[in-house]
Amino acid sequence: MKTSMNTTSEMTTGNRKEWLSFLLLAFIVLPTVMVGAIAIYGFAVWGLQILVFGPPS
Amino acid sequence: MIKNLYRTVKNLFQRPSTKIGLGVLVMGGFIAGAIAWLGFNTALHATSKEEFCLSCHSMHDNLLPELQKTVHWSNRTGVRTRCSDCHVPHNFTDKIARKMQASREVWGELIGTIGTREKFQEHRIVLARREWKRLSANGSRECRVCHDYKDMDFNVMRPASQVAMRRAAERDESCISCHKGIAHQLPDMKGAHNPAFDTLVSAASGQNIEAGGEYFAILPRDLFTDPQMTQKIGLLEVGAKVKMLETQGNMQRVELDLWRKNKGYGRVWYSQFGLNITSAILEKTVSRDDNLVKVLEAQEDLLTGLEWQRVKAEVWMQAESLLASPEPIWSIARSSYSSSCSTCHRQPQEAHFDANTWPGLFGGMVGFTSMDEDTAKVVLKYLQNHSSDFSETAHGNDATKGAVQTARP
Ligand code: HEC
Ligand code: HEC
Ligand code: HEC
Ligand code: HEC
Repeated sequence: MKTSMNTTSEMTTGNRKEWLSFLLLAFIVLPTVMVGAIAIYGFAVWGLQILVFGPPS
Repeated sequence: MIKNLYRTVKNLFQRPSTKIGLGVLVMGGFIAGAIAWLGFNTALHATSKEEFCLSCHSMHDNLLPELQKTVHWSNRTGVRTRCSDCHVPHNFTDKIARKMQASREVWGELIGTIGTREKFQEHRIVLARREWKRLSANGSRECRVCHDYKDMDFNVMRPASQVAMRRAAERDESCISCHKGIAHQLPDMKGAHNPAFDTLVSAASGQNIEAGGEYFAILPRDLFTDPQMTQKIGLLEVGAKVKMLETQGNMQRVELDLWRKNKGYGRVWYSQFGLNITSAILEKTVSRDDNLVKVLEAQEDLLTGLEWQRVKAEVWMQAESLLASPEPIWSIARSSYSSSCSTCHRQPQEAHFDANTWPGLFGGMVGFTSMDEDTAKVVLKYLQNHSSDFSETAHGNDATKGAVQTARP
């Protein structure tokens, strides 16, 4: 790791890559995972309502 | 390819940050989270808006015009009820589950399950049943966000409402058990189908039929002069008793031995002398036809001064619609009666009224219930056949007296 960051150009690419990763994680992955998890939760509750619980009381 | 993707994802999550400060990451993550949550909530809210519901044609064309005619659309207090107020659960878990259920509805809209008014009318009983089930299970929680028993002043209600509403409050009953069709037209109950009848049909198909035996109709059945069904001559009603003569393929010749009033066409045939328990209705064209109808005897009803005739006819009907005992029919009727007619008052004892009084009483009440037409007919037959005319313990029984009085405050 250390050796790869000796030159400024490498530093800027590393820098850019890291920011890109951060933005990707924060604004794409995070919302997707959040919506996905809630959707799965919703479907799970629905499934359970059909199979076990019956309509919510 | 998949391995590459896996590595990328793994790197994304596991490789530590070397350039961006921890504080920046935390703050950035927080802000991103906040924005995501805000966006999510906005979306949740937007999909609960009336405009969103009505963006589907099936909702806009069918439900909106109906709602617009009701007090929930416009009223003197100016409180407008939106689709979501009644249809979207208010707590998070149930709301999310409901939104996911909507995936089925989006699919339905795409393939046009209820694409036309006709299709909708046909299917709406299924949809309505789901809503009724939901609202019964949660005690009509959505309605009670706006109006609940504890905040009601029963004294200022219309007199017609007071008795029923006080009693409902006492039992903390779900609004929907009495207030069906509050926002939309009720589904056409004629097309509705009481699943309990299916068990009768399968019992009837297994019924051993012998010539000379007496049987009871489980469903209304058309009557014909011949096994080819060329001429329809009338309708046999549920619970009517017939005598089996012969079976030919899937048609059966049966003998009707019933009573009628000797006036007019004499098309309505009753099961007993003097009692208005309909068993069969004949076409006008044949009801006075001596080739078909044999008059066995005549008797005058002293109460009405009308002459009654005992009549006999041999007719053809479809097989597999008879049972040797009417009990399975009555047990379906009994459970329907006690569940539908006990919501506002204790259901009156069957034998508290006589067979000729029940039709009027029943007719005035059945509109309050969600019984479909076939069920209603069976329940009325059940009540008539268990009325005081048939019961040894008729009247006199104190428990029956209180039945309706308790409905009063
Ligand atoms: C957004 C609040 C709201 C919700 C939710 C709501 N209602 Fe209402 N309801 C009203 C208002 C407002 C009126 C009219 C009051 C008036 O007369 O000005 C009303 C009137 C009624 C009436 C009287 C009708 C009449 O003919 O006078 C009944 C019955 C009723 N609602 C039942 C229900 C039922 C059942 C539900 C649940 C399916 C429900 N309401 C849900 C607000 C609501
Ligand atoms: C046991 C049956 C029953 C239940 C349960 C019931 N109601 Fe009623 N309610 C009635 C009847 C019957 C009327 C009179 C309707 C009529 O005359 O059209 C009525 C009338 C009303 C009215 C009109 C009052 C007025 O000003 O005359 C409102 C509002 C109402 N109900 C709301 C509710 C709400 C909200 C619930 C649930 C919390 C509820 N009802 C539960 C039977 C019931
Ligand atoms: C006052 C509460 C209320 C409001 C407002 C309301 N509904 Fe309903 N809705 C009901 C009830 C209760 C049922 C169950 C069937 C019945 O009793 O008529 C129902 C049934 C339905 C059904 C099933 C089909 C049927 O007719 O039974 C659909 C679809 C529907 N509603 C859509 C809508 C849409 C779209 C709106 C907004 C334009 C809306 N509803 C507004 C109470 C409401
Ligand atoms: C929505 C509420 C409601 C439902 C559901 C209901 N009833 Fe009633 N019923 C009433 C009220 C209110 C009265 C009292 C009327 C009166 O005192 O004038 C009554 C009275 C009666 C009476 C007494 C009438 C008399 O003159 O003595 C009979 C019998 C009766 N109901 C039968 C039934 C049957 C059968 C059903 C089922 C099909 C049924 N009811 C369902 C509200 C209801």
